Amino acid sequence: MGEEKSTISAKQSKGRVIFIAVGLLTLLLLFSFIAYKRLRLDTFISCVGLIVSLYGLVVTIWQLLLIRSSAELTEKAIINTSERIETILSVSDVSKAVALSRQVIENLSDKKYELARFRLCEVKDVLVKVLCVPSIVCDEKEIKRTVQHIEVHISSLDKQVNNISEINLVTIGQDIEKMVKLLVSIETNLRINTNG
Amino acid sequence: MDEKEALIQELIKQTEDGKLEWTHSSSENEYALELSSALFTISYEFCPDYAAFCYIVNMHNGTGAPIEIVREVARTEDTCQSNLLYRLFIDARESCVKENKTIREALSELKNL
Repeated sequence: MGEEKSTISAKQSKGRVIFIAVGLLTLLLLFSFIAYKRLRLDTFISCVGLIVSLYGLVVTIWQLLLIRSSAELTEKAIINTSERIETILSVSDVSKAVALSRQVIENLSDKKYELARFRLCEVKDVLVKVLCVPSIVCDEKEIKRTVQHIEVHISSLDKQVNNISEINLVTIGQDIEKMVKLLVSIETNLRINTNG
Repeated sequence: MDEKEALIQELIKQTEDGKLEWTHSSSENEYALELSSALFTISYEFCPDYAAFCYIVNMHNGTGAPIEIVREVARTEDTCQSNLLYRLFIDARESCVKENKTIREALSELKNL
């Protein structure tokens, strides 16, 4: 961001120097020409007018090009910033999901199945969100697979809450541990990207 | 034969050929099969709507709630020939627990002593 700002201001100051130099050079050439040809006053005025108009046109075109490149640089800077913000937000979301997953394990061992279900839904939301952020580099297949497993566990918790069938704590516990590992690796990658 | 029935028959065929590996799900009496396109579960559970035990095949494709493929009421006279879902459930359980395979292997090991 700071680098792009300095590029824009360097271009502007360079432009100013060239503008003044070319202006002085033109005036010098104009006066030399007038002195050499000994022109009449009306011809002299129209010559000056023509040169000033052409000079103005060139400067305008040049300024327009400069503004366009500044706009492009600003747009790039905005995209970079929004990607960075997305990554920072995702790091906090993934950290939250890790904490939530651990709470799910606690809730399961305390037989608080409704709470566990609610938290598992939140973890699933985070993973779905991670899939939707293009700036996050992660194993998409593995995340999709984990989301499918979470769906099965949510459905199992539903059955447990509604007394339809008992939950298998060993299977769900092992799966959540795997999920925590995946989340931690995503979090680490995100942190590396943010700091890098 | 509709697509769902074709899917169930293919699952039975591939499971019996040993090409598919079912695993325990997080619910009792439920087995899961992971394919790259989706995750399938087959369960045997009480359905309040039917006031009876049913076999249910669900599909989880990661887009939201599970999609129920098919549900059949379990009957006492169920056999492998009469009820596709019963057959799939038995095959999935065998694929996961390997009860019959282990018994056969143990038997042949004992006979060879």
